[in-house]
Amino acid sequence: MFSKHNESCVSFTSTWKTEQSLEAGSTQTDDIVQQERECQVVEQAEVGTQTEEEEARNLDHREYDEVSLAAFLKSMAPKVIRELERQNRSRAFHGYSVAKEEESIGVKLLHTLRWNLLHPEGVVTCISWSCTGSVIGVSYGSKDHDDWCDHKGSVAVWNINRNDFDANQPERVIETSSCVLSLAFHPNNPAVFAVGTFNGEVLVYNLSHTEEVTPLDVGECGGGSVTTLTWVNNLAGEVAASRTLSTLVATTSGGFILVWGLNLTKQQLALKSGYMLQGQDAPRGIRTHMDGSSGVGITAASFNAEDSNLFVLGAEGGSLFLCSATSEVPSGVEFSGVGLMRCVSSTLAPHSGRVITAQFSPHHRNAILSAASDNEIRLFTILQPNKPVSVIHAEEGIACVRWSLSRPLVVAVGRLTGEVALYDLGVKNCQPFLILPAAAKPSPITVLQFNKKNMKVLACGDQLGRVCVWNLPNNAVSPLSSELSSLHTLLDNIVD
Amino acid sequence: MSAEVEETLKRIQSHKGVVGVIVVNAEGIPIKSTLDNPTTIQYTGLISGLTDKARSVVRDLDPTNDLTFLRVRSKKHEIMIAPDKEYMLIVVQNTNE
Repeated sequence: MFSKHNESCVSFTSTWKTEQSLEAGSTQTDDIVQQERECQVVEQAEVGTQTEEEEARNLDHREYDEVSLAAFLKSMAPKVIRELERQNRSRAFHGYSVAKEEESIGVKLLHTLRWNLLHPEGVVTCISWSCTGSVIGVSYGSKDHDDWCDHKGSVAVWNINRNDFDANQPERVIETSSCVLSLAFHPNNPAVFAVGTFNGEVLVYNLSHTEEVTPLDVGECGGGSVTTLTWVNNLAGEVAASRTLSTLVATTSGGFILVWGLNLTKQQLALKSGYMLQGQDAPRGIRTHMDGSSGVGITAASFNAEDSNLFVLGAEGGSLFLCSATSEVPSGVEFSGVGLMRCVSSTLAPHSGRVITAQFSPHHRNAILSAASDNEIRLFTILQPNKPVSVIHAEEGIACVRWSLSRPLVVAVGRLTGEVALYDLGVKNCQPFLILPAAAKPSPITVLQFNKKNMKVLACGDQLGRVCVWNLPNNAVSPLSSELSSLHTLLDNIVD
Repeated sequence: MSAEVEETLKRIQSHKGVVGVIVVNAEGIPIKSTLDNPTTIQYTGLISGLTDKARSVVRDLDPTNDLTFLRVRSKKHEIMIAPDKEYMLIVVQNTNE
């Protein structure tokens, strides 16, 4: 149980606590430099200017001494009257025409307007200049329609006087649901224009609202495509055109001539009256077999410059009609509650092709210019409707014809070959005196439009959707001193 | 007297080709006119200047001389100016071509 136990000694070296040592270390990043700067513009400048309104001086109640005035006139009148008579008898200036300055500045192509996004088959259908003469509106459509029009139509607007003008980028583009066939800027209000479509709608737009692309109002024209649109002053019983009230006349391929009143403040287009061109109005020789009361397609219309109750219509079959807006003979046809009148007062000698142009002269009350697809350009006087006083047979196919706005005897003719020829009706040889060359890829000219404000400028559109803006030379613009009387003589040349 | 003035003006106005007749007083203010207001003022202002110039040309050439009549021929019109001490008569006539 018990045993001896020997305790052996065990030793181990003692270890003593060493002192804990601490070392301080540190690290630091580069200084972060912050800077602060301020800048502020405190100066403002404002400049105002205003013109003073000048009151028109009234001449009616001017004080003067009647006795001395009577004495003065008594002594002066015989002298002046003698001079007036001598002036009338004088032949000193006959045949004298002043040499034109700047003769060297000739034909110049100013711009070729083209809209990049135009669909490939788009042709220029109509051109209109605004009343200020700096904005040009171009409408596009397609040239072929076999059935319904399912194209997108459009109107592009350029301001050719602007600094940022770009010929390939119109300032505004308005799209319509079918091809646009006619376009007319308002005669007083540069922001307003009317558009006529293939589907028979008249749309009036106001560009002064920059983002607005919807029409102010829409007028229905009974299905036939709207072939021409004209703003007319003082039409029978209608108001004179002002900035807010104006009269718009649309003609359709269904034979309707519809008169709309536009009220800009109310934004309202209301049908006022209407006329109809019917089969029975056509001259016997070319009257078709169709029903006499059905409409005849109108292709051209123009109002007389002096008497806006007088207008001329060109029809699809080649007939030309002189019409009066004062007519009261009902046609028996009613359209949206308005009884349509018959308006034809006489017919002009018909063409043997589709009438392209029928236009009253801007210089003479009696002169009418007509052209048709039979390549004849005729000058009529309304005093002799059955026979033109002058005829030009064009060798090349013609596509459109316009009177020059500045020279009473000059007409511009757009050809199918893409050139534009200027004819002088006073010259006997039927040769154009100026030809504007065709563009790089020639294409038939579809429309010509002179600029009313700057008569040197002529815009012509073609079937490839291009619009060439030409600057005409002086001899094509400034009239000869005897030109108006030559036109009178030409028109008096009535053959019995 | 007034009737006589009107009658003389009418007689000139009825002459062939006459577009308008204006009488201007010494201050250059139109007192009688058959043209509308703005046209009258424009004609008066421009023609008074021209007449003064023409008169000074005549007098500079010969101080004893004076302008009695001035005719301006343009493509469209012939303007006849009969200046006097107190009044000036302007007649605008179309050229007969």
